[in-house]
Parts: sequence; C-alpha cells; structure tokens
Amino acid sequence: MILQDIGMVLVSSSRSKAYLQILLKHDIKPSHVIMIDHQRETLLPGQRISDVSQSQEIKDSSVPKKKSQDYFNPEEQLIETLTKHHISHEIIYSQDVNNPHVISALKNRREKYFIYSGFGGGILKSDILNIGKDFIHIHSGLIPSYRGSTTIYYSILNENKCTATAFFLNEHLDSGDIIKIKEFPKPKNGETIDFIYDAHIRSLLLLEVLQEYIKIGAFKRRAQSAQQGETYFIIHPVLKHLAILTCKK
Amino acid sequence: MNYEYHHKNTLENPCNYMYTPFYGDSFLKSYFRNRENSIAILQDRTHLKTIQIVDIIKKENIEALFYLLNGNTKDKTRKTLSQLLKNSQEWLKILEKKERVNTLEIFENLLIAILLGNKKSHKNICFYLNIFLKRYELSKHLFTHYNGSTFKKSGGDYTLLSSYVYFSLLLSLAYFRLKNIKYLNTTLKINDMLCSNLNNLQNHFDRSAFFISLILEIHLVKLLMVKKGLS
Repeated sequence: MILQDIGMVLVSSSRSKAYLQILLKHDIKPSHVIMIDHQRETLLPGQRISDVSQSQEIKDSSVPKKKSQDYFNPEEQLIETLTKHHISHEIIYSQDVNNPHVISALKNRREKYFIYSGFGGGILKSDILNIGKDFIHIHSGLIPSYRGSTTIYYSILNENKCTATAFFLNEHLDSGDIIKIKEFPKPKNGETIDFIYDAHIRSLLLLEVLQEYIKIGAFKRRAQSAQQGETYFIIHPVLKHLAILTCKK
Repeated sequence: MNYEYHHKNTLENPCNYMYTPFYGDSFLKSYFRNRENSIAILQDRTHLKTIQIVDIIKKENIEALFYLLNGNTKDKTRKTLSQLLKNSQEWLKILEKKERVNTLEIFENLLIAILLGNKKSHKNICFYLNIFLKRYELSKHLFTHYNGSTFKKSGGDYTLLSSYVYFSLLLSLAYFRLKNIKYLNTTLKINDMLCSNLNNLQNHFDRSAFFISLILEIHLVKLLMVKKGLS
C-alpha cells in the first residue's frame, strides 16, 4: 500500500536502509522519497554515513554478516531498494539537508508528512521547518529524559534498556510533539549498536507509528515541555565501552 | 593497545568522539594505565599523595578537598567557611547582571558552592554547569570571559588551561554528588585534553586540582564498573 500523504527524506545510511526495508517488508510504501546524496561533496566531521564506511564498520566490529541481516540488510544500497520496489524518488546532491534544492524539492511535493532520516548531527533549520510540512523523526532515547546524541548508550548505562521515541521535529532540539514511545531490550551484542541495533529499534517504532496511522488516519500527538528533561552529548569511548560490555552481561 | 585520546594536543586539535571503535577490555586497561601515568607525574609535581585523596573520596569527606586546594591549612573556622559559602552564593545570584564576567571567577565561586554547600545549593550550581557543559561540548573550548546573562563569549581566548582544570574538577564533583552521568562524560573529555597538556600546567593550584580530578574520575569510573558488574 502506498501512503499518499507520507514521503521520506533519506540520506544513505544504515538508519534509512532499516526504515525503508522494514516498511517494504510489511507492504508499506512512501509516496515519494527525497534522497540526499553527499557523494559529490566533501563530508563534514561526524557525517560518516556512506554505504562503504558502514560496511567497513560492520566488518571492523566483527559483527557476523548473517547476524546483522537478522535485523535488516545493511549491504543493500538505498537506491537499489528504491528502484527494485518502484518507489518514486529523486536524488539531490548535497551534504546539507537545509540546502535550497532540498527545500525547493519539498515545497514541490504534495505529501503533508515526511519521515526524516538525515545526516548525523544535522539539524533542520527554520527555513525548512516553516514550509508547511511536518517532519517525523525517530530518536533512540526516551524523550524528554534523553535528548541529544548517543542516548542509546546512556540509556543502557542508566536504565539497562533501550527506548525509541517518535516525534515531530521543531526548531528546538528533540522537543517537538511526541507521537509514540517504545521500550526495547538492550542488544546481546553491543558492538552492533552504532550501525545495526540503533537503526533497527528506530525502524520497529516507525513501523508501529505508520501502522497506527493507517488504522486511524492520523498521528496521535502530545506536547512536551522544552524546559524539562536532560540533554546528552556524544558519549566518551570509556563510557561507550562500559555500555557495550554491559550488553554482554 | 594504546589509549589514543590524549596523544596529540586536543585543545588545538579537538576530538569529536563520533563513532569511536570498540576494542574490548584492553581499551579500558590502556585507559587506566594512561590515567595512572598522568597521576604519577602530577604527584611528583605537587605535595599531594594519591592515597590521601582516595581516602577523602572514600569517606565522602569532600569538604576536606577545600583545605587541600587552599594550602592544606585548617585555619578557616566554620564561621568563616559559612561566610565564604554565603559570599559565593550571593555572587552567583547577581551574575546575570554582569555584562562581562571572568570565567575563572565563576568557576571559583561554583567550586566553593559545590565543596561547601548542601544538596539544595547544588541545583543552582547545575544550572551554570549545564550552560558551560553545552558551551564546551559544542566548541571544545572555554573562553576567558562570558556575558553574565547570555553566557555568550565576551572576548578573551580559549587557551587558559586553568579554566579547563576548574571545570574538570567541578564536573567530577558534580557527578560524585549528583550521579548524573553526563557530568562524568564531559569530565573524561576535558581530562583527555588536559592529559595531552600536562607539561603546560603552570601553577600549583592547577596541578593539584587536576590531580584530584583525575583520581576522582578513575574512582568514579571504577564505581560505575562495579555497579554494572564489570569489575
């Protein structure tokens, strides 16, 4: 089934692959995909999102290929999935989601909602947030208690579990209206978190959110307070090691 | 296995810590080994003893750190300490009215408040710590002057190591007191940078304060490991 009101803004990352693959597995297609490809421009620090680097990471962290494919297929290129399933899409070459070409492409679309899976650390600016579309983001942490970066690790250290939150993006960090929250067990192999497990739990929540949307024809939303909660920053490797080792316990 | 995060001067070449690889137990061993080397160097350069600091931490007698950092004299009576704490709290209350504030002055007052204050006063301290934590995490630098109401940088430069030493100690004490792991996280990053600048710590206070912060940091990491069943 094609969701006429829903599009996707995707960069080529394991998260985007997980999103698209799980939806297709359940016969759900977005009406249109705007794919932002950085390959013709230089990457900024922290925006390591190419297919090549992810494959390398999986190899480096000794995650068996078969095991990672229990979640989704990280080897399948995004463009391959889009083409294979005849999903309407366009490619914009940029390293910045706020690029005027991206804004222009979005303005030309009729879909009201866009599922957003952008560059790591990239934030949507008001230029894009004010074009009359709603952007849905899935965060791998409980909002508002775990706003910010790498919160999946902090959640494992503090709570011994993982959580994902679906919400609408607004101009403040992780502060938009919440659609749904779901808890997950910590992974057995913590080494898969960065490139597999984090993307996997987000995709599972996305699927539930869209299945509910199909059922009731709208997204449930509740406001959160920007003043409450805690913001975290990129986890230090010592704490990251403790979180990963905790998964093996 | 080498602990790679303080081999180059990370004040001038900041590390963003994005997608750091997993190396297993050997990484943690190399982390402890490197931190212990830095502690040994600092012990030689200060009059402090590791065992003395560990004892204070284990007894949770944090107020004693105040005496150590102020020349190890106990000539200050309870009354003068209370007055000192009161002055700091009053100073922090009028901070937002100041257009240009010296960062070290803010940190000195916060340090007094966290060492001598009670739990209630720690909430107020967190407000300021969170602002500077965000500033540090986003730019990996602390400037010598900020605007007291907006906390935007107000001139000065970012190379004064004393600011980072103070902030490291403040954050490790904040984690010790409040157990909010984000404080330990930023402590680890600042301490990586300071370890890469060990020979540039010029004054006795900086060396002593960083010595205490490093011992506190590894003690807190070990406690967390025990809590998570990883010791």
